Amino acid sequence: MTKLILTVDDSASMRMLLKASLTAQGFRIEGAEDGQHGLERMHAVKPDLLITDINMPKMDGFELIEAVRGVPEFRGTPILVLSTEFSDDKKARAQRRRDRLDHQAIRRREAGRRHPPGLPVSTGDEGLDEIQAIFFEECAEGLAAAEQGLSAMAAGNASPETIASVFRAVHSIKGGSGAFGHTALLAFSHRFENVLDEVRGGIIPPDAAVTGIMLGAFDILSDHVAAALSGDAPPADAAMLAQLDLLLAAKGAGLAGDAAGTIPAPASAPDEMDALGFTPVAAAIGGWDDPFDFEPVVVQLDDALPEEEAPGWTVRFGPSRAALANGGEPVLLLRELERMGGRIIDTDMSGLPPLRDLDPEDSYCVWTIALPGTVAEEDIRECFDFVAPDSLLDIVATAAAPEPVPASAPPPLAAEPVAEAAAPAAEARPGDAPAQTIRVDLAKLDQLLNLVGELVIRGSILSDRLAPADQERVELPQLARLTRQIQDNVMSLRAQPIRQAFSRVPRMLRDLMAATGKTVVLETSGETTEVDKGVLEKIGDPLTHMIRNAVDHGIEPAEERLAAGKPAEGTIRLSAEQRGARIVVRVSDDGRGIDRARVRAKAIEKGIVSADAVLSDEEIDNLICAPGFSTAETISNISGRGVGMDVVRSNVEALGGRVEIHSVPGAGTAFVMALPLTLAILDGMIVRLADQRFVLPLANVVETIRPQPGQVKPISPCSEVIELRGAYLPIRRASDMFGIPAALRRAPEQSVIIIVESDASGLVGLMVDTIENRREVVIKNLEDNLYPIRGLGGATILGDGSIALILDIDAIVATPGTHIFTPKGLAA
Amino acid sequence: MPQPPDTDAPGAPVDMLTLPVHGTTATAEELRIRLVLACDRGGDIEIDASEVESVGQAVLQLLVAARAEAETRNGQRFAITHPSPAFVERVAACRLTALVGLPDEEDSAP
Repeated sequence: MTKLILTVDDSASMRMLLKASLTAQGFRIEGAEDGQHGLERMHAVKPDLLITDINMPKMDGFELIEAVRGVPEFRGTPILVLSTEFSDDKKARAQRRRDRLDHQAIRRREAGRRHPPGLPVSTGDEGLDEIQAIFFEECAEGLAAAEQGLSAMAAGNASPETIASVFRAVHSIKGGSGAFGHTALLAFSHRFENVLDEVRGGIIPPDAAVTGIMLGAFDILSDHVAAALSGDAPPADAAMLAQLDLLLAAKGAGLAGDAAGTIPAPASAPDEMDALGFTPVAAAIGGWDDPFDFEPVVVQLDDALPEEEAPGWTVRFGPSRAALANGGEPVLLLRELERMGGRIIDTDMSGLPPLRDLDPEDSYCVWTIALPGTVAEEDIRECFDFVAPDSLLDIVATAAAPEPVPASAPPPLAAEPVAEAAAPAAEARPGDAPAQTIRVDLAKLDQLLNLVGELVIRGSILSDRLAPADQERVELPQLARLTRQIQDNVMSLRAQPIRQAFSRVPRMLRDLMAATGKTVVLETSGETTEVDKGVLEKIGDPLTHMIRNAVDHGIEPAEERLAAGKPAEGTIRLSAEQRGARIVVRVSDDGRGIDRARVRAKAIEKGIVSADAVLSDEEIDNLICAPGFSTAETISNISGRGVGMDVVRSNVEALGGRVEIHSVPGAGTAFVMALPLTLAILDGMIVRLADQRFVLPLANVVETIRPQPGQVKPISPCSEVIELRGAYLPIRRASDMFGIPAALRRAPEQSVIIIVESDASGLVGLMVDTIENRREVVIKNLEDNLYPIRGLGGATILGDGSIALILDIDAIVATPGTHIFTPKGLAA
Repeated sequence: MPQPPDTDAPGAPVDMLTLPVHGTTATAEELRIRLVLACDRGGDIEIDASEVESVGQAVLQLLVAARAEAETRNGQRFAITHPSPAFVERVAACRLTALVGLPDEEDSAP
């Protein structure tokens, strides 16, 4: 029978590497991504061997080993520890051991040794490139986590959790880099990790200076990762390594002593290991000569075993608000359980709000009660017969499923109805399983999205072909609703927090500060706003350019700022929020604002506008987005290079978004990008105009009106208004925009006016012939098939197979009539 | 019923509150108001628990929150005085002795 191995590692690439290696030798492999998950998998799959990493989130390897050894069933299961956290002498022993094995054996047993430095896993292995690609994805995630942590530390939040998260991120990068043979990355990340380890251990204080050095080290680490990914030469890191060494020498002199080799090990790890009576490496490697027959005593951890718990019941009870209402009293219930021999072993009040926010009639306690095994489960359940069903209730047999009482786990009150909790007591509780993720190729997601789009179209066609009576049948709307749900779900799969785009900014800002000598503080908000991955990928460049522009042109030099009565350091605010079907990203600075006189002069000089043009402030501001415009007196290598903000505008407009500029002289400038939430589906109103059908995004529609005679009044030869409940709204005739021949035009009384709302122009009436339908349409990009046209958001295929253009309301109502429907590049 | 606190005395050094005989959920709202007022006045807070015969979850969680507010946030002294044996026993069984600020032993009972 094939042996089953459980590998526990927080790095997916590590797990895959182990899996690829061990599966090839005929073992079956199960994976888990942290200690907690590993423990659950232990119970679920009961492996013949456990291979675990040490440094993992939630529950680390040591805790996992203790927990596993606490289960009688697993006392004999061999455990192999894979970690880079070994002292030099242990590593040397492992090395000697490994050198004695012949080459074939090394390859075969590679999985047993985690990333031996300088010995990459044979690159001939199938799928290794794929695993390596995942490693680089993990690097990107690790770098993002590290940067977030370091930024928090720089902002004064140096909590142990923050430091641990940075450490873990760098540690993972180090681990993988060794496995894949990126020696330069390995060497640097190792030195960085050593410093972080001492910061974590409180030996090096995480003060501003240290955090500054670590931020610098982080930048170099990013460069190292980039170099490893591209295969380029590694960055120059000697100066930074010297700084890190200086830190180690100055603050952790005693402990950094044995960390003198090229790849020194963190000092604290061996101590931790010894505390558990562990001699892992030599024993584990030796054991591989006879897989699974080695003595389990090698990894015995009896000293660390917790006290054996007597069999019985553990009841977790979180009364809901309703359980306290109408005279309900959980304490009476607790007393009942106490009469049955129970005792409260934990009272979790972690959900208790401050006194002032506390609702005296709500419940904030979760009680954990231990009951002897002699009590029948029915009797326990009977006590809760009259408890409000939305209370949390968990009854677990402690003998069959030992579970450490979570001392401070914040259980969601009223999360599990009693009815559902009445599952077999010994069953593993699904609610406690950590959120698991899998990686999916984006192309597969896109394919799914396309298919769902087709499904929507076919659904519409089917609906159109059916007789009206059949359309009313319940199945059709149900099918439509299901399709919509699938669509929403697929869309949400592609949604990513905008943090990914924001995370590039701090580094860039540090470089910019170094280049300009200005000091800038970055404030970000709304990083968790989710946006379609397609949009996310394309806003990176515009964002970069806006930040550069803000630092280079917006923020004044310190002395100028002081003279203007501002703080010496500038502030750039970066925010994102969802507004309706749009994501609004805002980059604002507190700099000098746009110098309109200079912009205007420059635009005239460059021939962008004529010298006698009458321009509003807003129009002048927008000139900086005109192609070929650059006000930088010397084209700097920061935001100059001849391409200006026009890149920002064209990129954003290509996405179907808009850029707005708000500037107040002396007070600062804000660039606002309004981007579509999704690029794929639109809830639309289908309107008819001179026998053509068009789609209006329903998000813009406020109301529709069939005007009475006289309700539409001309106020000038080319503008009209509609009187609506005492107010006058401007209206635009769609027939004018599309140049419909006079013979086909309808009078206002025979038309429909659709009141639309746009960010830029407020409420405007749009006059069309008739309204036909409301439908979800799949947006087909004009850009891919034709070219982008201002005023049109795309096209779609309607149910009967005909094509309808989708109107971009914002552009239509905001733009003077003559300028719409021109290719975007040509518009002003 | 608890005595209304003397709200007019400026800088009253000690706020005295009395827990009701039966600390049901229905009594919790009034108790919360008194506790908030006591925290606002900033003096030491003494809670007389001598009459308590039974106490429910609503009152218990209020006491925990009030002690956290008074001691950790405001630096006020928060003490439960003359706790009745029933009160001490219930609080101990609920493992809340430390959280409401009762001494560990039962020797402080009257």
